[in-house]
Amino acid sequence: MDCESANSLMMKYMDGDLSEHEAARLNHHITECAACKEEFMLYDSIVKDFSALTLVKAPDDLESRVMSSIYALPAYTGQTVSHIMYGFWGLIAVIMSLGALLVMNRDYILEQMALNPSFAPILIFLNPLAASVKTLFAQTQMLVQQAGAVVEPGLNWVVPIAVCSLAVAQFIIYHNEKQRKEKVAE
Amino acid sequence: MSNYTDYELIQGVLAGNKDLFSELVTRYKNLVYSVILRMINDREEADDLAQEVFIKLYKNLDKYYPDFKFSTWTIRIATNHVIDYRRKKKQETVPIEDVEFSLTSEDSPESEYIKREQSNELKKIVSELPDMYKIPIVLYHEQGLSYQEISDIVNEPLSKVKNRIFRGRRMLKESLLSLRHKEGISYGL
Repeated sequence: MDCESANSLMMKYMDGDLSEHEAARLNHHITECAACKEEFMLYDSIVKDFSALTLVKAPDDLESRVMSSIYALPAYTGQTVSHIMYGFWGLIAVIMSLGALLVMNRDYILEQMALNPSFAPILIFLNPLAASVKTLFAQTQMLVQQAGAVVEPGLNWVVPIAVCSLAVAQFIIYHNEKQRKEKVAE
Repeated sequence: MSNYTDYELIQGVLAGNKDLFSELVTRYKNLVYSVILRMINDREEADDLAQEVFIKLYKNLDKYYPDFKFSTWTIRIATNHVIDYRRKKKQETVPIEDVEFSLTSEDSPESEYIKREQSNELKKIVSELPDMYKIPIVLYHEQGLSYQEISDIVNEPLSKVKNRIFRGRRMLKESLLSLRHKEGISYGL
């Protein structure tokens, strides 16, 4: 065995992973190599000295001091920030969905409102607004068609690349999630 | 209270029961204190910093997710807190002579003296290591954490952590060698 292999075994010794066979090989090497023997004795000394350092105890009053500071702080209310954020984004999603439904069915809603005279004052404001939305939609549609004509030739490549990217992303997410679950299970 | 898991205790604290936090302090005070003490080498400062770390843990408890063990998260906060503290203080190393550890031992006074001397030597050379080697070395050899746990704490890949521990050991060996050569100690060579 050369000195480099002996050094690897010394690292395994420090990890506490040395098998009996490896220990015998290392032992044989250090009886013949003075440099490795000195190195091993130093590593061994480090391991033993570390084991003597493990009994550090925190001061007796640390806990009481920490707790008196904690009691001076406000208590958690059982509702974490993340829950509040979930609620906030949920509300935004509902409002946006309702808005989208109203915009998409605006013609029918305006027709029904026109049948009832009591909505007349509101319709004075809503009709021009609906007309603006209609114009905006028409302009957007025109822009999309123009962009489509330019982009269309490239789409033959974009679609397969997008599908492959999504598949790779999905695999990475699945792999990471699996590792995370394994770690939690440990 | 001691039958609860860490996560159950945390959920209890988040539900408003502060008393449960004391059990978490009981469980991890020695770990936090010894990691800080090894990094800072001053009992008084370590004492204050340990207290600050537990208060920080309490304030950030709602950000803890059980992806990692609570001990891992705790040490990560403790090491980062000490690094921030030292950065603010702009202090790299402090004398180690005053540090004494309460070791329970039934050895003779002579062998205990030798052990204490050797421990002091080790403490000195460990304190001289740069943080990037010192933290993984202390967590592995002194606190008995696994490579994976250290990788989670320092937020570095496993291979990098292993390399730093191996390199750190070599640096410790070189320092110890020169220290002992100065003292004229050899191993029968």
